[in-house]
Amino acid sequence: MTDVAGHLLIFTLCGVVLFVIPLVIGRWIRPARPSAAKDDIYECGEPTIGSSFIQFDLRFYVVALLFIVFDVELVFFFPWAQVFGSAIHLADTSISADAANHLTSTLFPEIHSPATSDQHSAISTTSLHPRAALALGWMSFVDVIIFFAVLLVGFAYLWKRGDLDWVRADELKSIANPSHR
Amino acid sequence: MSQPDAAMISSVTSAAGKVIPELVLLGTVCINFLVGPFLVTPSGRALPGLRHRWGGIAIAAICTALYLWWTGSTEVVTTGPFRVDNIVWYVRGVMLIAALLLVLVNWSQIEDGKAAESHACLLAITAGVNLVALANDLTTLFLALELISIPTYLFLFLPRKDAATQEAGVKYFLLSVFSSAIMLYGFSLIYGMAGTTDLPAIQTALANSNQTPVLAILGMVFVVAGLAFRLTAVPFHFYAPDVFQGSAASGAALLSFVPKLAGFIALIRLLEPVVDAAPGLLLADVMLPMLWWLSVITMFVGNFLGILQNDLRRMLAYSGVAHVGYMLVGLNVGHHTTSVPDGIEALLFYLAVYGLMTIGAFAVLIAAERDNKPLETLDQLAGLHRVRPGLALMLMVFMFSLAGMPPTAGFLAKLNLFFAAWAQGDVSNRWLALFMVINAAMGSWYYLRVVGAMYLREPLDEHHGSHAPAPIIASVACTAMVITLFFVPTWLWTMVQTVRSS
Amino acid sequence: MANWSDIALATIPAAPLAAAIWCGTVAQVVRRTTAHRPVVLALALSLVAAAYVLFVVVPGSVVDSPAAHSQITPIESSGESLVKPISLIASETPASATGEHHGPAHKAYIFEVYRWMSVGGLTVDIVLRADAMTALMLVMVNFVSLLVAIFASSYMHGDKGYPRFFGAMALFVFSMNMLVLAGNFIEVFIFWEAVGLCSYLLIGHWYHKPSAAAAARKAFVVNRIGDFGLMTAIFLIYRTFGSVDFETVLDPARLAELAAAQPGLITTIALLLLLGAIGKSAQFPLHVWLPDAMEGPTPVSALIHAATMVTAGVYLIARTTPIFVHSPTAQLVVAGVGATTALVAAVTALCQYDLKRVLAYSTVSQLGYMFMALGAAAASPALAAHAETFAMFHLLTHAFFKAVLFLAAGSVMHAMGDVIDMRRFSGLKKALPITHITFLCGALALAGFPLLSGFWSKDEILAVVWEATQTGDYKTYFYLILGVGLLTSLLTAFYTFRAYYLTFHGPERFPEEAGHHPHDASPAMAIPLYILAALAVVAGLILGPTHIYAHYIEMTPNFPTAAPAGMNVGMMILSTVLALGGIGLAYSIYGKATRPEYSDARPLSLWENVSLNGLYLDQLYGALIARPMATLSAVCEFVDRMILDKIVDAVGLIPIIAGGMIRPLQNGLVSSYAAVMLLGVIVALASVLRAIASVT
Repeated sequence: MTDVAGHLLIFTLCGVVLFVIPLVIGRWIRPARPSAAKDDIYECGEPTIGSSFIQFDLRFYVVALLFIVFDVELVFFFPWAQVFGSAIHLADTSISADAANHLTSTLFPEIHSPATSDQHSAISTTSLHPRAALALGWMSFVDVIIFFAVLLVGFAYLWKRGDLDWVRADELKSIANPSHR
Repeated sequence: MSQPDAAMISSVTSAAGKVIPELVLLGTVCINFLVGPFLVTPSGRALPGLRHRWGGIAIAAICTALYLWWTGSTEVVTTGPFRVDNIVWYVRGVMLIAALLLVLVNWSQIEDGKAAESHACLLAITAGVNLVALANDLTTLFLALELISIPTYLFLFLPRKDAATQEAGVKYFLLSVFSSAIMLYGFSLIYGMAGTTDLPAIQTALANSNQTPVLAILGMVFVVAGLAFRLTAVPFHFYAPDVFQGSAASGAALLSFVPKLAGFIALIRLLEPVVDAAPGLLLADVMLPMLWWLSVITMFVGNFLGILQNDLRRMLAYSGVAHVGYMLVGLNVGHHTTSVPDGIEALLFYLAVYGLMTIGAFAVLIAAERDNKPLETLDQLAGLHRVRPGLALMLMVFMFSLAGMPPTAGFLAKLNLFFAAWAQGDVSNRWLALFMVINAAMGSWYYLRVVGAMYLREPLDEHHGSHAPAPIIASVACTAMVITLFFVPTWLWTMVQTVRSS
Repeated sequence: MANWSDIALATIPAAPLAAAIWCGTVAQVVRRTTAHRPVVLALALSLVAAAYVLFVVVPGSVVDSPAAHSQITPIESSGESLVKPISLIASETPASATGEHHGPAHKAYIFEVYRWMSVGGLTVDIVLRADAMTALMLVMVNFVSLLVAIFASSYMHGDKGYPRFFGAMALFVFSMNMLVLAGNFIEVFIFWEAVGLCSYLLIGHWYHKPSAAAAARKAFVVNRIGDFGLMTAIFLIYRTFGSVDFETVLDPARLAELAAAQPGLITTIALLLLLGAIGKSAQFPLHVWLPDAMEGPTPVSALIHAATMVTAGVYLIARTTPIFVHSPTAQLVVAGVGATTALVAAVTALCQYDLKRVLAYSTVSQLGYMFMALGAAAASPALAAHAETFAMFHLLTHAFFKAVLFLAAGSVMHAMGDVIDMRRFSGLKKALPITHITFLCGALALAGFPLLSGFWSKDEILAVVWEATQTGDYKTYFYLILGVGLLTSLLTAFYTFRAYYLTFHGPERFPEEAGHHPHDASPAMAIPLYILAALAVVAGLILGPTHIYAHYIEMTPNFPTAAPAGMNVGMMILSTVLALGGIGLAYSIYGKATRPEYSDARPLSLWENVSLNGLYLDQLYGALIARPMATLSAVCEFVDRMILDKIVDAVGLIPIIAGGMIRPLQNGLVSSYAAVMLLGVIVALASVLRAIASVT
């Protein structure tokens, strides 16, 4: 009990102290000459127009969200590329047994642990057969196609709904014909 | 190809074969999203009656999944990203039937122009719940839980465009994201301790570690807290009444059951490997007191606040909170070979019965709507038995069932939990059983208020409301099952027992 | 898989249930006016099935050889399948009970429908169990129900709740059949409640009448007291025997062992069962609901409150005789309750002017007779068989003659425009010939006129009580009981014929509600009346002195050992004299053309005055019982309202106050919700850390 709580206590204390000390030091050593200009809002050197506490147009967020979706999708491509690359590489019959063994262990870490790969006998039995590696490569390719297709469904949905247009079709109509509102 | 190669490849390729019912559902989701926008005008309107077609497609998809579930193999697989065992079989069955009922409940709650998305969300949520049961890996589990959460935000947001619905949707979204973050933090702690996300591997790692896995315990606390949000356990329940009140009745019906099912299944899945395998210290001294308090506080707060409500959906939200408290009793008693029936069995039985009665109650509220305006207060139910005797009778059955009175399945469900807690023998668990009885008595107060309003008061007007068949079909089906399960509980009980025998 | 016996057993409850569902659903919308057809059809089907059970299934269920024992499968053993395979389970009768003198021993035929629940140590199977006693009850119930349904199809014609009435009636017959067919105490309890519920629904059929609604509520509440007794008894039985099955609980050998070890326990169980029976069978002091229950439609009174449901208490005690034989105390109480009820009800019936209430009190009184008989075995266990046989025999004959009396009263009511007060009509003999003759048959049977059915069964009951006075330790007690029985017999004949003469003799007068030409029973009403009247006349003669009934009911498993029954000629003569005396007395007062009531010209003599005022018993009863009761109830009400209610209210306030205290947290702000969630996480973390630290 005392052990854990003591640690927590010391940790909290350090945090507070380290936060307070610079403020206190600054308050001691800096000159204090407040003026109205110092309280002004700084916005790229331009004078501000109105309050900065305004609601931004929701469309900014929609676009930002779309960007993130595709951004994150790209992140998913990295591990896939690793697997796909290794598998295609393994499918090449000309690579050395050592390299094959290494690639297999990166593909199947839990089955093919580094400990067993050191032994010479393990190499021949556990490295992936090139034909199987090719199959694996193709399968991962199909996988990513499906993944991408599902993503494209969402994209098509957004597109058709007009969420990609800055001014949506129904709003255009109501702008042209305000009496309908 | 040598033997290890085949094992390696098949561990990857066979994953898709284990989730065929879910693939059917998700495929339908894609079709809905792809085709849906082409059938509506740019302003979001569609031909009147389009929702019937989308509803039909959703039902067809669920029925296909049900067929695949029923005929599918029951071979137990415990390796790979998905784990197939009897819990999966049970959860699939319960969830698919619940989905069928929810599609009917949602049928008339959605505009024609939004029906495609709404039903797609429902199907995605269904697949998500099944995947929660299937998950054999922290990553898969998290993704499955998010597959429930994200469509739920949309589902809550779609039906109506007034401020209350939006507020409810945003509130749920923000707090749900917050709870996901808490849970994810817990996952990362567990991963940090075990060095793997694979659940069986975590179990092995915990069993082999020779010191107290403090990090994993802390991780589990976060995970339980994150999941408690879905369960609406106190103090993570605050959103429930506000969101139930604000969203359409179909959204409330969904929220009242589906996240709870997913949360409990996830808890069962996580507690077994993480807690059962670890040294006895974890289970007995650390996790159980927390779950005990969670259960007690949840049931008391749920019922205390439920009594004060005049808004029907708020009341049902608190009723859900209280029921989660009861179900946590089952989790608390857990898997004890000495007590008959064991807590998890009783919990699984209760979950299914609770789903039927709560979805049924919402279905009746929808069927009793007037001019497409949702029923809000208790007063609007006054004299329902004069105006719509059939609906009043069904709602009475559900209220009796929620209160745990015979001849309804709710009675047997509570009885099972009570027996499980009592027979297990611990003093603390007997207290739980006792608290449950006290709470059941308190709860019947507000359930009977509904019955009283329907039967003892004069109707405010002679308006008969809508006669849309879908919610009526759903409520009739729920009534029939709630009553049938009282007379033939073995049907469900045997299924529950096969779950535990594996 | 199923054989004819199973099908027959299943049909008996299933057909009325199907009819009830039809009436509750389809007939509410379409075919409202022909809602009686499926019910009549279903009841006919049930009757045929019951007859099959009576003549084929029960006599065929014989414990033939020891080899059969090896094939007996214990109920508990079979496995986990969804619906248990239907199996025939034999329950053996110990050879000591029946094996010696009556050929093959009989066992109960059990059709196991399914396992209802198996939670903890309690396993409850829904079974249909048939033995001789069951079969007799089934035939009686379904037969009377069928006739009453036919009668009601005409009687209730044009009623707003026509399908509702038949639905509830079919549901009642289903419940009653299930109650009789029950194979364990849980089933008994469920359907015990179910018949009570149906009775509640049917008494309150005209729920817009405040008196009907109040009577329904009263019946329900009073019955709750009895149900409490039954429930507690079942709890005790489960705790004592670890089972609720008849076969296990009513095993005489085991009961004898237990009675030797814990006589107090057996007596407690028996007395609690008796409390249940008292409530359902309207015995003193819980009989108050039955006269009020006459607010229900008359066919209901005939069926539920005369022939079937109210006899459930008698059936329960007869069924659990193996328990009662081990507790003379409980049996003495049974006899005492029966005698008290018989006398009190008969005395009360003397001064009633409502024809249906006379019959209601007479029902209570006759049920008292049955209890009296059941209790007579206290004198000697050797009497148990006679006691049970004749109680059940009187139950049967009473069902016939009381049903015909009620239906005839209903016919009178129908013709008189729903007037049932005997002061407002008289001399209906000419106007309602069918009703008159059938009522007369029933009245003669009830009065115990020689050779009619009531004579045989009542005489046998008195004979049993007479035998009880000759043996055992309680001779004086049973002399008292016998005296009460004989007095009641006289009173019964008197009040029955008082009602008869007041209604059918004297100057012809109709109330204005009846219109000018009261019409007699329509064919649908007349046929049931004739059939029941015929049975009221001959059933006793056919079944009683020939011992057909006695021999049949001996086939019941665990039936007490029977000694040869002989005619008690002395008792017969005595009861004949009493019956004729009562009838004569009634004739002398009410049978003349001029009646005491209407001879305004001369001042009334003392005797006439006393008889007019019902022997002043109404007032006496009021002063002795009603007024103290009213005072007591006022006190109780005060305590209830001012003290108990306040306590209950105060307890009820706790959740509201507690809820109000938590409520402010629910302020609708997302940020504060998130803060509380975080606080929850922190508290959980802190407590878990503390727990870890304290363990390590």
